[in-house]
Amino acid sequence: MRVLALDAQRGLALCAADGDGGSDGAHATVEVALVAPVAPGDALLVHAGVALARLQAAP
Amino acid sequence: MSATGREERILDIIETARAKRPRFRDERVTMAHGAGGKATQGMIEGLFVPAFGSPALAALGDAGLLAVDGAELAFTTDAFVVTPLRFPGGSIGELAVNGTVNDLAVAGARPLALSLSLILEEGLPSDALRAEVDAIARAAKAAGVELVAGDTKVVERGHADGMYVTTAGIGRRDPRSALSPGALRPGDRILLSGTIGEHGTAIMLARGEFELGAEIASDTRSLWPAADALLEAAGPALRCMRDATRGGVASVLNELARASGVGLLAREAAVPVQPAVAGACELLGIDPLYVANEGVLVAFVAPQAADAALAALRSVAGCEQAAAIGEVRAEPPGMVLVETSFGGRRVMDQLVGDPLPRIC
Amino acid sequence: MRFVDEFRDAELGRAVATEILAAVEPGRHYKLMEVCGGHTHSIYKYGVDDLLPRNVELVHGPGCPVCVIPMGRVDDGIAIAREPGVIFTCFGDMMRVPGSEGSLLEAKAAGADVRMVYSPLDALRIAKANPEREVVFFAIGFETTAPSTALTLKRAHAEGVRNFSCMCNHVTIVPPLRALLDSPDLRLDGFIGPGHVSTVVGARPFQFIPADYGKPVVIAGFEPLDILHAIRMLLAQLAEGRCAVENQYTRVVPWEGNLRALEAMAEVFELRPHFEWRGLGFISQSGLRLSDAYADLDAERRFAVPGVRVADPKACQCGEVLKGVIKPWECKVFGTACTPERPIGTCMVSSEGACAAYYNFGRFQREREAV
Repeated sequence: MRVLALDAQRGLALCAADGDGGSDGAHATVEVALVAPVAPGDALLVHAGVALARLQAAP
Repeated sequence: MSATGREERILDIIETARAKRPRFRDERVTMAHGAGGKATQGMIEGLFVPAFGSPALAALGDAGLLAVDGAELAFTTDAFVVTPLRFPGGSIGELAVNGTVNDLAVAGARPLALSLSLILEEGLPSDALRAEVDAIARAAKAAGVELVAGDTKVVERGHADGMYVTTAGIGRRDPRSALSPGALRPGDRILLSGTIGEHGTAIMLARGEFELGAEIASDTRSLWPAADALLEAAGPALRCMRDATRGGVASVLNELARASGVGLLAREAAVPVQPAVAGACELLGIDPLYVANEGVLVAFVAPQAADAALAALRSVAGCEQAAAIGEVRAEPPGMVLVETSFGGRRVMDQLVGDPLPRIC
Repeated sequence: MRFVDEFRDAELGRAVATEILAAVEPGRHYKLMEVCGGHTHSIYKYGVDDLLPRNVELVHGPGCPVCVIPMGRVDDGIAIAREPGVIFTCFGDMMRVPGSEGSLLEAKAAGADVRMVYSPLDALRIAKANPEREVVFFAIGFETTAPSTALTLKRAHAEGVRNFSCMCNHVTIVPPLRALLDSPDLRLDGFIGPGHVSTVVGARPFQFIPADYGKPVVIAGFEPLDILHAIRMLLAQLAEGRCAVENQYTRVVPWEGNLRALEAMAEVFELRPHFEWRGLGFISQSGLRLSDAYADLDAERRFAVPGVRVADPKACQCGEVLKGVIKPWECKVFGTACTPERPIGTCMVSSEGACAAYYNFGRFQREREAV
């Protein structure tokens, strides 16, 4: 998923499904404590509501 | 027996089991029975059809067809138990009108009149009731049907979740229609009238149970204009139509494959889905092909008329994304295969459980 | 950049498939095990099998967390769900797993408040929204979902949520792999390593496989191209006589895993001395329970559960399917007494189970050449 916006105080990020439009696409609230710090535009691997890894760009 | 031999034998056993008339042996009714998949089918074919015994019912169409003194009529009913009552793109009242209108339309019948039954929960705010009454009146006008009869009941607080709505509808079979599942032939093309998966996804998001949001609205609409366009463009080359509601397009394809004994091949890459819907379904691990719609029809058209039929569909408002998604084949009979966007093939089986309860 | 689409590209897929065909030794049969339920699901969903030559056989292993839950634990869950006032939450697949007297779905039909959630955080929200009810979350999964449960329990403590508890059935991936490799009836050439578990634990825990058992491992992602790439990498190792843990999923999996996730798990969980796995029996140090610091959120301490061990039905061969010893269709009851509508065993219930995957997605005609 791709990060759209952050709520750093609560450790949450608003994310959109990968490859999706953005603000009108589907979005979910995700816990980012395990991969922080994240920034809008980052791509994350999310499982059961928690981000487990940041995706590195393909070489 | 060789490994391949044994595998073939098991696949045969599965096919025989799949082709058999299901029996209804469950001890209790569960939510799975309302999902539009295997459990629902088991209940319909194993309990209702044998008990009620009418040939019109046994045909398992979206509407029952009756001939009365030379007039060919279609008659159907549908109940709506959706929660919440209002959601992006519509409300229970609108669903109730369009749902029944669409069952008539895909049976090739021009919708004429509806009856309306309301079961209201004690304590329902009158404003909510007024809002639905207005929605029903507007939807009926837009669909060109008259509301000619009705009934209202009230039940104690705690029942009916606000309200339950049932509509029954009557229509007149259009002279251009020659529809029947038995008419499907290998080579016939499968057409979809538009993008899929919107209604079920919209409802689920509207329930706010999951940390998930998106701008997705229910696709509820009358399908008579689409059906009309198809009948005009294809006439007798239009073999069959179905309304893809609970259980989604996958369930419709499976029902038809079973009913007609042909095989169906669908191409995943050709199925139109809005990006927001694809995204939401991906996040939840649900396949849009199994998600309910309230404004999508599936049509089967003989190959020589397929291009004209698709063009006619695309010219109907709301159906601009109509697409040809596959075709009918002789083999394997009664089964639906999918060509994945990756180039492999798999079987598209019927739903077993219910990913999204109470969506219509 | 579209991370997902490029890994589902059909043309690229065909190109890698051709490379695989070229890498296969004529006449040699390869048995590669994939241990992650997500891989099983992907392989069938995209028809990856169709692109492989017949001598490359994919065997499904015990990586489906629903499939390994024994019936006794389902009964325990149902016992809790039946307690008055309880809202019992679990993932969708769990609801249809048969216990000795029916599934959670059937318990729901009989009146228990059982609700499907997509994450333990949803369950915590339900607890906060219903302060007068007791909300229980039935946690399952390998190290992929354990961090999610761990974070949820930490949040519950941090936010002072008292009406929430967790019935923990998390398991770890290494012990069953070792048990499998130790079993005599198994003959495997290599492993497709679990992509998401590795995100958390890293690639290091799998080094025992080449080191102690001489089999290569390639950790793979979940898109069909990832799986094909990983197969190509395994064949290369086998052809060159190499044996190591390689990482195909480098865009996601770091070698050391996610340290914070491991820390969170170490804080919230501890290893049970042993845990029963459906079909594999008792495996020591393979299951997690809540640590003492989180005992107040442990559903097994808050509620009385029967804790009875229930033997699998005689006809059920889930254990052999989970070990990859037999294929789904080789099970005596597959497709006949055991179907998705009336499952006898867990492999038929979960969308990641080998039997369900084969039944639902199984190829109808496949003409795969042998090399």
